[in-house]
Amino acid sequence: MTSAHSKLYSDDVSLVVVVVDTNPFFWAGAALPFADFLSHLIHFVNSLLLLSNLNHVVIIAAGVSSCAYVFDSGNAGASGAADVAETLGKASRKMEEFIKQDARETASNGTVADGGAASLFSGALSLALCYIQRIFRSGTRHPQPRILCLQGSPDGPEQYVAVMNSIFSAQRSMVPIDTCIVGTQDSAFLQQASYITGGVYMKPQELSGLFQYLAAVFATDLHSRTFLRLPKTLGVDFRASCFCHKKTIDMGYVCSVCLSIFCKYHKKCSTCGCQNSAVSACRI
Amino acid sequence: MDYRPSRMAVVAKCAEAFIREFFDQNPLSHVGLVTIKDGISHRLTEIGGSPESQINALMGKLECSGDSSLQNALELVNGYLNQIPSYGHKEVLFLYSALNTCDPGDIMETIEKCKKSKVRCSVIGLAAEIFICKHLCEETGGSYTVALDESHFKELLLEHAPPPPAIAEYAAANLIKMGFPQRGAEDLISICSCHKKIKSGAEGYICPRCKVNVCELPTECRTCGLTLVSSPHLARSYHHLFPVAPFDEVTFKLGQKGGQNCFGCQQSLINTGGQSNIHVRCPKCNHHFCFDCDIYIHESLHNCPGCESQRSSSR
Repeated sequence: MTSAHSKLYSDDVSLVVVVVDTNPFFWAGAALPFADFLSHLIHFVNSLLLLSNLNHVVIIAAGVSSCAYVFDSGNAGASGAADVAETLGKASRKMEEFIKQDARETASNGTVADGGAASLFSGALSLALCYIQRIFRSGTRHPQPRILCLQGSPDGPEQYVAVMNSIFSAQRSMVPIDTCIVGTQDSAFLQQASYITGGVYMKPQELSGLFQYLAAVFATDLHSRTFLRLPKTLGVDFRASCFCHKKTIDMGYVCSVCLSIFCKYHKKCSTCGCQNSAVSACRI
Repeated sequence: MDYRPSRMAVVAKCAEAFIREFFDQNPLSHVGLVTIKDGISHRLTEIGGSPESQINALMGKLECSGDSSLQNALELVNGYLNQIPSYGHKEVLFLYSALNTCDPGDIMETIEKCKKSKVRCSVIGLAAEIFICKHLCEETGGSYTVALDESHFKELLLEHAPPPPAIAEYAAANLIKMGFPQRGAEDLISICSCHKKIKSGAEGYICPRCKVNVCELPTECRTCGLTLVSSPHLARSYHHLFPVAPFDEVTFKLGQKGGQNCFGCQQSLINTGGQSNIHVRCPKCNHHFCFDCDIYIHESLHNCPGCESQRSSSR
């Protein structure tokens, strides 16, 4: 609005919101050291900014006890030219500060127990979506937004409802969620996210070449993706897990009031406390 | 004041938008269409769980003629809804443009019958308020609204998409057996049970009980009758069960630490123009948000970013 020259947003200008998993429990045991990972990421961010001077990149970090905005290329200054060294310095400093702050909060918040702790992915995803809504509100000419998630920690089952709400909201706003898994396990939440929103899900085999994977697969804007053959996920597992044992089931019983899923027929639903009439058990 | 190009065209268009929104909010529900023409009620489409068949019928040629009979429509609908399992909530929504109703018998008896079968009837009128519609809605617990113009009509219609609060006595709680099918293997070639066409296994889903191929979800397996859904379909309704608490309005106080930027979108909350600095705050996590994020969070996202970004003791 306040710029002197008129910005002409063509199809290939993008806004990429990168959600970075900074869970120290995961990175302590990961094959790729966090410092190397961060340098791959920063070089990728720089290459995105160099593709077009109207491209906009935001980095949100998902820690174990908090989430925060770490870097926003829109704040880099009105001069417009992306100074590579400056981006590197700023983003690294802010990331370091965030990790220290997160560690302090985790230490003071005694409830986080062990290495299996999940990062607060749902919070970071919600922040990303709020930011994207702000960009949508800024007028008819705006970059095409997408979200890139770099995830390594396991999925936290307590975040299921929040993650699914975010996925449906992203689907409605037509924002694809891409995923690059930097850990060893696949993430069921992110597979579903990428499938439902039309994004790309990838688990690279050689993490030391992470920059190459990022630049080849995730750097292209949404318009140009229609001309490329990107990695396709073969099977997304949409099966549900039962609320009593958390194991994936093929057939189960669903409470008609609260939609909780059970693997065996019970007289009383444990979530909402409704008594079940015996009629339907034999009917179907 | 009247609806252009014709009331029928406007109603059909808005009904299509309603059906899409309805299935978006309630993926496990079923919808059927019934028309009233020349005093007789006809079934336009069967009660089904897929939006496409309903929308195809709406896009087809719909003609209007003759009187309308509320009683005949209620009798027909009652007959269909009696076949629904006991755990389902039964509802009827009338899009009523006539100013009267020509009935063969006593409509009060029919209303009593609907009330006894626990069918919730709502009416959206296009012309003026009619006593019998108001009576019907009051007796059965539905809502009666009259549209002023086309955009108001669409708004009233879309208000019926989110599920109303359920009345415990109206539907028995039950554990319904459902299947969660997976996609078949790539090399499996079979005939799908819905269209009777040859499909590769990877294009369809395999029913876990009888192993036939079905094309899309949610659906009922034609061979064994098992309801087949995928977990996102159930998850779409969770936000109705766990809504976000409304945010409190707060004003910015000078010298207050934090709260300068909206926690969600990082927009500055301080107006330089000296206008009122009212924004909102979540009562649970105490983070500050701007009004736009407030609307987005409560209408579309259904998660508070502040609450999700904290590791509370319940996690």
